[in-house]
Amino acid sequence: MTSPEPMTRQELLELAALDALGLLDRYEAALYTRSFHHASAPVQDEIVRLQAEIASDETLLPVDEPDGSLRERVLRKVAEAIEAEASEFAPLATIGRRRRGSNESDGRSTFGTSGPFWRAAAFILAGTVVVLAYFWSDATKAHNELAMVALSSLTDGQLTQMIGPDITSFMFDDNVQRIVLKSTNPNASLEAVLFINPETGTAFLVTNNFPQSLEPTFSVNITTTGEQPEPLLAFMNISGLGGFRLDSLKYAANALTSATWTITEISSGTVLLTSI
Amino acid sequence: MSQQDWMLMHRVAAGDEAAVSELYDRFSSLVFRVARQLLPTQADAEDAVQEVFIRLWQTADRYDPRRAKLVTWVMLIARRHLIDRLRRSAVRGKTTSIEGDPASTSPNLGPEIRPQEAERNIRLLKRISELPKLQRTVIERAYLQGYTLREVSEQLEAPLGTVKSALSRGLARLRERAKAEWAV
Repeated sequence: MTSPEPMTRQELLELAALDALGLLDRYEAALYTRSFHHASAPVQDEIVRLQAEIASDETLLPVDEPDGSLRERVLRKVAEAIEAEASEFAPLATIGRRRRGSNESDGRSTFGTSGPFWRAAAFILAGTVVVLAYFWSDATKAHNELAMVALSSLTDGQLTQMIGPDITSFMFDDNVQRIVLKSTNPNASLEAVLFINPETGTAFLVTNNFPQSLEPTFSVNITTTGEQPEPLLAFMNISGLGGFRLDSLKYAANALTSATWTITEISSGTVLLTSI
Repeated sequence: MSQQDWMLMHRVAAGDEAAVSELYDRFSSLVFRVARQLLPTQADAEDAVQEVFIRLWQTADRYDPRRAKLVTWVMLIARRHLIDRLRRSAVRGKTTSIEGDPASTSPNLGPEIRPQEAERNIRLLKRISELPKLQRTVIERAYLQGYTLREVSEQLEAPLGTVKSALSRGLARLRERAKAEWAV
């Protein structure tokens, strides 16, 4: 099974209003965003403009104005929330700040309560540029689907229900090293990042744009100096984005970070992505 | 503008209260109006606005100006939060209903609304009531009451694609008619 084809320009325009108004479910919103990424720059500009028109269209809204005192109340509430977070997390030396209230759950789970999903929002560090550079080796990459899935999932608690604390523990640990795996086919859109904690011998793999499958189709492999590639994990992809934890990696710390990492298709042995 | 908006949200993410003020001044009206559309009372809407702006601060570091203009982002955050709130409070279906007399069921026609505002609210609901039945029903349930498209599809026993098309066309038609009215 392969990932759905990206939407055409016409399809993107037809669903632009639904996407902008948050009326697509999480999976469809992710598909929409993925298609947006594949579209040409002029089409993307067209959609951005159209969605802004829709979002700001007052004809779809009632004519009501807030009470004058609301401003002060809102600003005070936000200031209190900022202060509360600052007090709680001040001792932590973090790459980015974790935010309260980001674990809302509404029970609308499309994918069930188990599986290798993780909360894309947890990836987003303070500063969009930092995030993009952090995740993908190509710092000029125009779009980051992780951020967009987060955008589409903000109040949808599905991912939150499925995710353990794993990814955040990797994200905020100064010992963790990031290895970006690059596609061996320049025309393919597969992406993967490994977060390796050499001290604990654990790793977390993030994949993007892998073809969907119903059984393990891909393998993560490690090749240390002078050794043959060793498969560590067989996985399948259910959605555009995937997250998988690797435990008990029985290698020395420096071997983990200096090894060659690959992702292969199990049936053919084809190397799809590599760290070199 | 997009670079400035990214900088604004970067400052909001950093907890810059002046930036939060600026964000409020730019978007509070829109946010309040969508809150008023979805929630039954003024007080509920005002509470929700506070929650939305806290949410905007919490998510500010995720804003990507290449994907959406800031107004799109803000309204998406707002709508998603309001829909979640609506679901939690289980008052869906008791708010705006266009079945029967729109004037009698609109939550917006309280004594605090000025006559010209009431008239414009009625006009919006009238426009919705003039849509083809499927479009009207889908807009009422998905856009006004916060049901997901899948839920609407199941309720109406209609294919999801049909529901999506009806919603998309219905919204487009509402906007066209509103523009035509304002142009007169």
